[in-house]
Amino acid sequence: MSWQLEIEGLGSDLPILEVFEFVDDLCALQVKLLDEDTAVPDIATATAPDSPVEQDGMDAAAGMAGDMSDQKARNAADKGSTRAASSLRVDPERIDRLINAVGELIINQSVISQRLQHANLPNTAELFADLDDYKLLAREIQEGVMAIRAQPVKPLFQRMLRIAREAADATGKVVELITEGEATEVDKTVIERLADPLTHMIRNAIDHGIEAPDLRTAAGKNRQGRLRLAARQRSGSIVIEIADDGAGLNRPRIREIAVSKGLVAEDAQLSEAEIDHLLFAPGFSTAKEVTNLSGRGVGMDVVKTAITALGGRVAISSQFGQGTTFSITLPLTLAVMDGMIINLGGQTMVVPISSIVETIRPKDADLSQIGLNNTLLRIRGEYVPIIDLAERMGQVATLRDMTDRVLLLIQTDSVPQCALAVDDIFDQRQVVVKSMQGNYGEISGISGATILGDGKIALIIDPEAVAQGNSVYAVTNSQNGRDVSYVAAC
Amino acid sequence: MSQLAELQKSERLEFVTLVAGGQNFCIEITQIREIRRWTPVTVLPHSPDHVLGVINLRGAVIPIIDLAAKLGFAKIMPTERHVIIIIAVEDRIIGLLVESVSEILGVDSHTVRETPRGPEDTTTRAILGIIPLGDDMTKIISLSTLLAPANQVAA
Repeated sequence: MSWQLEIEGLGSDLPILEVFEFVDDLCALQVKLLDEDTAVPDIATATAPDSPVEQDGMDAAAGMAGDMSDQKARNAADKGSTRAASSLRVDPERIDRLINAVGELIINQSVISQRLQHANLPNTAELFADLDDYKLLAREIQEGVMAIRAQPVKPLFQRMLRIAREAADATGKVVELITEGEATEVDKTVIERLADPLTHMIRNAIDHGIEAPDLRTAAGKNRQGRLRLAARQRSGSIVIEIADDGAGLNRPRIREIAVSKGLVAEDAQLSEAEIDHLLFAPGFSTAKEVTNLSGRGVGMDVVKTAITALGGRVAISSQFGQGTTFSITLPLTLAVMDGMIINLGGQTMVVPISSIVETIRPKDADLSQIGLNNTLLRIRGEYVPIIDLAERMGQVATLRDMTDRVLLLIQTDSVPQCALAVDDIFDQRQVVVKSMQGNYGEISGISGATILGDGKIALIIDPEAVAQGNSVYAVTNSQNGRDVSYVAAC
Repeated sequence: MSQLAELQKSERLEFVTLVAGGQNFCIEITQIREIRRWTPVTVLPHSPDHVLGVINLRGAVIPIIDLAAKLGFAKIMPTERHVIIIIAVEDRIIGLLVESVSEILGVDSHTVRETPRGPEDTTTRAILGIIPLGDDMTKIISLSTLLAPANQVAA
């Protein structure tokens, strides 16, 4: 079943796509700008899946709607006509199998390079050049496979336009949603599992963040609230930002509620960031009354859980009276990442390269003691705390001289700079991430595991969690919870 | 005991008998995936005493648990002669380190007896039933009880 509609007088396809956004998942929608000399104009063609034959046509159309800009341009250049770009519909399971096989290929590649390094071949052997080629090819295949799963965030963002409109109507507020970086491509699974948390955060921003029009005028702001939804790629990760220009977080009130719900002790000293993080505590709600949109107590903790499950994190920054920004950082791919292979007390571990700013072999003059057990590193006039990773990983703390060790300068979104002390750096390579949650459970400071060239397992360090273990906040919330959960799992 | 009743539905039962902490135990054979020799593990940080670490089982990361320690006995000092039983319990794959594996035991289900209830401890709580064997007897381990995630904490 299919329909064709012709609409006159519109200069762009965007308004039509927005209107038909609600059928996005249900059928294939194809919007073409009308050529002046086209004999039979197809402006909008919608196909409902009812027979296998039709479905093929629909797939082609779906593919086309998906990657409009790029594919369309190429196609137009190739054929000089408006024929639909051909695309392929593949069972996701096949792609998953391919991804697994590529993962094994990468492991196998590291096995071979490790063997060869130990084989005492002359450095000039041609084999090494071939090995480098193999490495490059393996990486190319891996990137290619990942690209199959990547999709632009545009459909997701368009769905958010409707959510924002509905939320604004329900609360009687005037809100404009601006989207940026719609062409940013993210893994399909991530897009699917991001829809619910994003919906929730958009609703929250409109219900709690942006003030009613009268209040805004009184505060000297534009009547219309602005909500910005932006996606961009930053080194190994995707950052999605939801920023409103509303009232900002009312920290004294958040604290008050947290105390009344027994989430924090009354006399606890909390920093601003720690108060902000209370939003993610289970059962937390600031809404004075329960509305259709929010205030039912299922809230940001669900958002956080969903995003953590994807290997991402959420950070908040807020200025009272100016607005609040939530930024979600997600890994680019779920299966493979670039890692620094390190030695820690004889154990091989992996630190994600995306979080390492630089590696330093400290000189005596760069180090200064603070208290009994803590050392600071001076780097370009800044003082950065050093965390002994071995100690954090539960190995015996041997107060060794820091000058024997290598420091990894770590920078992440939610924690200030710190340096992780490790024993040695072996290598830098792609590793295949294996989850441990299924069989074992979560371990604080460890985000997963990988299999090395020799078949042994190396744990992947979560630098952010390790660094956060330093702050007071960890004691109130995550650390305790995690301790319980991993002991319980086995 | 409903777990025991569940087990006794089938007439003929097969168990793999093993020794852990110097005592005889057995595990129902359908829960066992494979039995392999001890290989060195990757130690996990902050793990409880009975968790030895993780191994690579054909590309999957499997935790290894010292069955003797988990049952409350002294820890096993693993050597090449020790054995790991890979078991599947409720979607999880876990390896159990034991002292040795003896034989496959086939019994009629009515010979399985309920565990006499005395004072309970970690071990007796995880015993599903007992099987008399001539002068001796062996105890059936309930893996789902022993390895139950005690309280799941929502992260």
